[in-house]
Amino acid sequence: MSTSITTTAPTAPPVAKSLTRPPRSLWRDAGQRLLSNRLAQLGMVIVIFFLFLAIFVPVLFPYNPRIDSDLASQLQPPSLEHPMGTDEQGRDVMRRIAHGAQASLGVGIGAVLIAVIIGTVLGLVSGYVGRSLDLGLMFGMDILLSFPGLLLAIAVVALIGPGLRNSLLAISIVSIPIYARIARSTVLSLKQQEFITAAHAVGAQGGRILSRHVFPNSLSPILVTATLGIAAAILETAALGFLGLGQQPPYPEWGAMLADSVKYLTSGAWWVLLFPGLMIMLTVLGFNLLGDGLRDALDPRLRAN
Amino acid sequence: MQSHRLKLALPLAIFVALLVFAACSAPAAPPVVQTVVVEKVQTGAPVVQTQVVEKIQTSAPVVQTVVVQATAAPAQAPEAFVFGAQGEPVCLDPAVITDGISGRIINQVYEGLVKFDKDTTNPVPALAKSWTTSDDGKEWTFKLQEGVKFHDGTDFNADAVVKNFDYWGNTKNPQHDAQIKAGQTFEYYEAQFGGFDENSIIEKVEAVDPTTVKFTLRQPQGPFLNNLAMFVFVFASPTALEKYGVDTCKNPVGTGPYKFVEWKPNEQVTLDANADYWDKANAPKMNRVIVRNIPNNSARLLALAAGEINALEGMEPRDVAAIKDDPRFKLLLRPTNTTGYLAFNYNVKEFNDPKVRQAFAQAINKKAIVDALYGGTGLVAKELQPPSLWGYNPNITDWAYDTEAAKKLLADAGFANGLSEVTLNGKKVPLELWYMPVSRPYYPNPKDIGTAMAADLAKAGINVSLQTVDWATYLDRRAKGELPLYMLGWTGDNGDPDNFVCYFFCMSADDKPLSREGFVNDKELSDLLKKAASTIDKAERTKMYQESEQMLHDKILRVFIANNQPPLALGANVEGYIPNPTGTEYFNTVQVKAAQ
Repeated sequence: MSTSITTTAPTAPPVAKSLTRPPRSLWRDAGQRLLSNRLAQLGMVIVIFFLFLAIFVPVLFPYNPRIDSDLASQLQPPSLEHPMGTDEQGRDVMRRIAHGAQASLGVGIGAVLIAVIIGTVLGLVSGYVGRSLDLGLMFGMDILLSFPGLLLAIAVVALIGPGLRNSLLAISIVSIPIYARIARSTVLSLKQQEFITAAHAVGAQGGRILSRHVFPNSLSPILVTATLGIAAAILETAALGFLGLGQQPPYPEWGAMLADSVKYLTSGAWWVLLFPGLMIMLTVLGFNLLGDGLRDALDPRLRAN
Repeated sequence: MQSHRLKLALPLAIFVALLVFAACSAPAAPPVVQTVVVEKVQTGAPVVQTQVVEKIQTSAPVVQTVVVQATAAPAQAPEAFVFGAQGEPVCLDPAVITDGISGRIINQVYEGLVKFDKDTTNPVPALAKSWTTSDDGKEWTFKLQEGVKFHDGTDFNADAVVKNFDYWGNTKNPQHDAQIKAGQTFEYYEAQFGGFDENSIIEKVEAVDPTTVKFTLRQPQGPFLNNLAMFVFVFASPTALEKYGVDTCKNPVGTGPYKFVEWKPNEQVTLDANADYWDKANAPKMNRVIVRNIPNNSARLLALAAGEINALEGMEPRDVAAIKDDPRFKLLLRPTNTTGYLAFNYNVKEFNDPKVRQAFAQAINKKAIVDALYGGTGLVAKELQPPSLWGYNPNITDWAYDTEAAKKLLADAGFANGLSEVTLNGKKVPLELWYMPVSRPYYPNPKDIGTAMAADLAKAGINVSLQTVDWATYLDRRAKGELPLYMLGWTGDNGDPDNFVCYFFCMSADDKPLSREGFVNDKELSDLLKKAASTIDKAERTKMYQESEQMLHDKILRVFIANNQPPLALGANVEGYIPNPTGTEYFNTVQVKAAQ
């Protein structure tokens, strides 16, 4: 906590603050503001609900999709027994949606986590060291950024083969430059600040300055981008699944479920289409609301209110 | 802020779209109001009366309302018959194609010596009036129709027949050579007549006089006439062949009831009626035929519902049932001539154990698959030949669906803990079940069918991982023997059992196993089939093909899943469409009446 106070010092007038109230950490402050934001609350509820599905459903209700098939009860509309109906194999749609949460959220969060770690390290080092390393790395990032994200992900999957793990890899590769860019831009603006110069003057090494002084300052924009990025990654996972490049049958994944159901567009089995689509929409909405709330909460200009 | 709004807008848009969709489609499931056209009364005067009975189904007693509509003027009868095809034709030169989409267009533009009769694969006269064959079956003499002209005015005669056969089978023919150099192959000629030049079963084709042509064969061929009736062995104008060369693909000139007008790539092929068609009794009934390319199943059906097309093939199984009950459409089924199967790669060590293969045969619940995933047009298959073919063996009893028996067989074969890995060419690989990426007549939805099979197999302890890849790669990897277990099927070309059984289970000329058989090495079966092919007597051949089916069954060389009767949907006002088992119909009998 003490670290946060020292590092946030340049962004807020310290003297005035200490006179009016006891110093509060940026994060605690932001947390309070986040909790008082209605839309962010809604986002949080949605996100927690789906996280719960993804983490606990596979443990509490084990399911083996390999042997799940009952053709005799195929495409039944929603009923008490099957609240979301059954699909063309006679499988319970609700069960598959609950178990599909693991794939969608797992890839969404996992891909962003990998991208954040690799991207931030690359961006920090690149920005701090500068010169030809910066030039080379950022040139590479620019090349990656110049492709539409989904198209690049499809190309990567086409190269390394379809599957859930490979789509996670593809989406994380596509997302790396975003975080590298953010981290680098923070470093560039902080490098000229007095407190960094001061750290230099007392003999701190590059690694220490980066990890103790620069990194914590770049955390808030990265956190906001990452939360919104999870939403995008979930959409991309679904898109890859829809194209048959993600999760392979018979394992459930929302995008793949949607793709399998498109053929019923003309024959009225709406439940196999609606529910997976609804789930994708809800999780994306949840992460977007949460991300927006976080951005507002972490905005230093709003801090005075 | 802008981007943030957009991010919210996308999922919201999806949600709204889904809601709209759900609202639109909901009534389709339980039809509340059904409109049934009961009768169409056509009076002599230009007044067309249509009687429509609206049946309103409610939980209360049924209420019937009769609405009589009278239109003042008769609707104009449409000029064109528009067919919705599943894809783009490859080429309109019959000599170098194998695909049915091109074949359907070729059937309207060109004609051969014989053609398939109506809804059968019986060869009947076309450009040949009659024919005789020598006692040893090696000489065939055809009498040709007189006064027939190609669309470009060239006379059709024995000379034209000779020139076409030379183009197909003589590698020194300049047009043949040009096609080969352009990367084309004369695949069907090679397959049906044993090869080119000296390898071909056809030794020579001679013009005895302008209306008589004589074939001399190197050895008798049982399916010779059926082969000649295939859509590839039809005659192009020799003048046009010389003029266009490899561009014949885009410039077809035949003698058929319709003439080629234009081909807009990825859009449509347009044909006009041939006013000078020689066979007045079978003259074209429409002024124009248009074959449109609509690859998406749902889009094609919507086009039919909107009246943009008059007929289509290829439907989602679930839509078939809906079309059957819809008075706006007619549902026709092609007589079954297609078999979908699960093939073993015999380079996999485990599959050489008959017990393992029997476990597969008994683990799969074919009936449930056919009932649920074929839209009511499928039949459970127990043999390679469909029941409509004369080599089909009616005395075979299929392996019973029995998960427990399959488990026991696996245990007996040494896989008590199930089978998840196999040895392919000495290397341990996961047991993959490959399903096709495209829908074909025998597997209308390979992914769904593959998923159902995989679940059945898993219940018996056979754990397959489902795999697929694009169609060309799929066929290529299968040919290289890289797929351990794969779904595929066959649609008969010419109504001869040879075309089904020998195509897969005759080994090469030097008795080497072939990749299209999954490298099965069964000389006994191969010898029997080769003997059947060179026999002329049909009763004898029938016995041999039935025997071959018994062998296939006893040895479980493959697991046959389903025969399908591929469905066609037509507008209610389309008449005279005769579905043919080969899948490529003649359109000269088709007529589109004025809309009702």
